[in-house]
Amino acid sequence: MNKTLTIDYPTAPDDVLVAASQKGNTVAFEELVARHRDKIYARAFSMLRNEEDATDVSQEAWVKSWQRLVQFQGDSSFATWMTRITINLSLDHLRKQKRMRTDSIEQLNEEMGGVERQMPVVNFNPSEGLERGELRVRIDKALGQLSFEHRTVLVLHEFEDLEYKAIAKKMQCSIGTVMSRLFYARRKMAALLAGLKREEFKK
Amino acid sequence: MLAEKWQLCLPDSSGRSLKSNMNTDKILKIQAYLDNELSSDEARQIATWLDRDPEARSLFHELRDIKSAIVGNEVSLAVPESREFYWSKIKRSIEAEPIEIVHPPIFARWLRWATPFAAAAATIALLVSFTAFDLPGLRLKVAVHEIDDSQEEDSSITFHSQAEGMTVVWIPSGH
Repeated sequence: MNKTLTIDYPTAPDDVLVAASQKGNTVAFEELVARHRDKIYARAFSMLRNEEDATDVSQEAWVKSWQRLVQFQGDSSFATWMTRITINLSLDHLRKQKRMRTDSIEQLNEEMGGVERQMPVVNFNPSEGLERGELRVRIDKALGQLSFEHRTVLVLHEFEDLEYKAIAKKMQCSIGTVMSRLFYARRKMAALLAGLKREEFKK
Repeated sequence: MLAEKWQLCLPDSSGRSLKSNMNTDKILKIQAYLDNELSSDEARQIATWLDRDPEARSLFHELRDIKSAIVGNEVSLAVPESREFYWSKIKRSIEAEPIEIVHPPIFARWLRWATPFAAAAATIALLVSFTAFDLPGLRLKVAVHEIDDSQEEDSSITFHSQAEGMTVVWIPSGH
């Protein structure tokens, strides 16, 4: 008896679509792309802060994942696996960019914590009295003002829930550097969010 | 670098800012305590310190508040392109480049099974090569010096060891 397996693509779970994609089914893969593309793009954007770069890197991540799909064994969710590929490609992209530009004295100061070290401790809770949507917009705005090293460490720690050791491995630096960058990033975020709040009180 | 002092401005009870010099190592440990990255012994030490030191506690609260504000509050974003347009670029690329071929599990199992046989074959090849070069230092006492495979004629195999002064002829059953 000839058995034909039909897939209802929009309702099929990820693992079914992944298994079909591993056999070369591009329709199943297209469904995976449609399902997770916003999340993957958002992760690339959170690190790169540029629409065009984030679109390109996220598309590159999908192509890479297609080529390596046979390696995906289901140890994590497909979305998590895809996010890891996107993070690695975003980091590569940032490193290339960094090599191309000369760091200004200002950037070096930030790396060394020249400004944040002397910032006053912020005595208010940044999420107090804010709608969640508004808080998210403010956090995003503040993230955009951090250097890429500080932003990346914050994204990997707070959004991806990675431990210091895993972040150090990804960013090719020591755990001490991760701790220091995370500290500066948090202090600067606190100051930036406090500044946004103060501006609001003035209005 | 670790001995560096950090100047943090901490407000006193009247709201004035006071400069504080906390050791970098301790400051980063406050953060590691917040992130559950310390051993239980270290965590206990930091907890005790936070209880006693209002300056350290104030910094801990700032870090805790900013962390709780950020976690789970990532802005939602959508790809600024239509589904079709976004997919078309990916499709072009995946059609142009072949899928990476990785040994399937069945091949990996076969490799595991074949490894001992490959090792045995390599050992025999080594012994034969010693014989072929006939190097005095490499001559083995109980080695097969001559392997005469007369299979073409009668399927019998002869092993001869000069050191042992012995010849063994193996004749398969049925002869």
